[in-house]
Amino acid sequence: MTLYILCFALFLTGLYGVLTKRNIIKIVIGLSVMEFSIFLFLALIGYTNNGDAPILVNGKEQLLFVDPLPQAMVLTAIVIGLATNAMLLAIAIRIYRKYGTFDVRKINQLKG
Amino acid sequence: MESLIVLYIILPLGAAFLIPLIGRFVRFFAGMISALVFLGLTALSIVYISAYHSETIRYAVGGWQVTNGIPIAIYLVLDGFSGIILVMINLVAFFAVVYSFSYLQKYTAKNNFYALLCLMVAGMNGVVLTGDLFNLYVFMEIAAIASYALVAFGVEKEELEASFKYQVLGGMASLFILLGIALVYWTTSTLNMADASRILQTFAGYRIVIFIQLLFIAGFGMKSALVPFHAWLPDAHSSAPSPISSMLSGVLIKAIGIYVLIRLFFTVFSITYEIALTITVLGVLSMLIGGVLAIGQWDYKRLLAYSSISQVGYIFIGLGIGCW
Repeated sequence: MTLYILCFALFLTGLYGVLTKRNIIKIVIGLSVMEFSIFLFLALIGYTNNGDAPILVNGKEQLLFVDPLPQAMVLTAIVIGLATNAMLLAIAIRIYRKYGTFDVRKINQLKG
Repeated sequence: MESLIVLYIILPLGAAFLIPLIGRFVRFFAGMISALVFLGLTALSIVYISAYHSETIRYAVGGWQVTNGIPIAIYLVLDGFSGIILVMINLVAFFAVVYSFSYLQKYTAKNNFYALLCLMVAGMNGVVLTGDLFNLYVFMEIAAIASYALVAFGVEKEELEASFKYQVLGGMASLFILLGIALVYWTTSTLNMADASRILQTFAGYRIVIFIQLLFIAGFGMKSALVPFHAWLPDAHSSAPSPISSMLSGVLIKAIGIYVLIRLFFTVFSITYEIALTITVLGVLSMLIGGVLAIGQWDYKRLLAYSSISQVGYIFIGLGIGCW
């Protein structure tokens, strides 16, 4: 149970970073922290105590397996997260070229 | 006829792949092929809703059959509701392509525009058709990432700022949704929507189910610009190229926001009074605040964006009342 709570604390840390930091790069880092806490949570869901790798081998009796489906989900989600991060950082670089700053308080052409 | 459902995903994805390859050698190829694809898919959806309006079509991708009562395959499901949404998506995309021929004269890299538009439509068609929760997340991210790039298509100051704001809010929404999906899998050990709804019947009123529902309301509410989460829509709407503005507030917020919420709350979860009340209150707030903020706008596109926030409020009121 402690692991799940720590995982959720990591999620909240990332959320805090996204909401309070002024620097664009730090916001991106906060988003990544949130992302990885969820990946960790997915990997924890699939874990079973003393479970073996989910491979059937002839002549070996093993009935307790780790659930492989969340691991496949984590792999897919990591690839998607890579795409999102690359897109965010590309936009951040373009913003730095146009505005000359990473401070969100100075990037205020639009009113929201 | 059932197996033709996959065309909704394959055709736009294939077009998005071919456009950068062939489009640089053949003039007008990009616009022509995307218009043809969207027109063909519109015709196909009209055939589906007129011929199959009373039955549900299921297609198991890869042909995997149910073993030991567990659905293994990823299912694509088409019923009357998703048929109507599909007509809407592909028809609006077709007109967006037709009217973008002259609009795009002032931009370079036209091929990228059409390729991204095809990717976005492929993602939205996938979200509408899929019967699997994680597959829904993947298609939603395809549509969302393509729309982030399309909002920033002009690469001037305003476009970049709007796109960054949209990406941060959209990324947080996606993570809430992924957390919700992970919790559904933790509770029910399945990702298939029909299977999950059958198992969640026994969990009615548990706290974890309420937490999952709140996560989904927050996530999809952000995607559909419901009022506490609406800040990205006016900026993204007014900075994007006009064909993309029509796609954003006309189709995207409905297909990956409201449609999924309706699908989840009417078929997967058994809803409680408190959740229905939350949805209705958010809808009323959205309707009022969107309408009031629209009064002070002098830019037509911002005005229309606030108007669509207000309309989203109406849809959410209907959803909240219908759930209870």
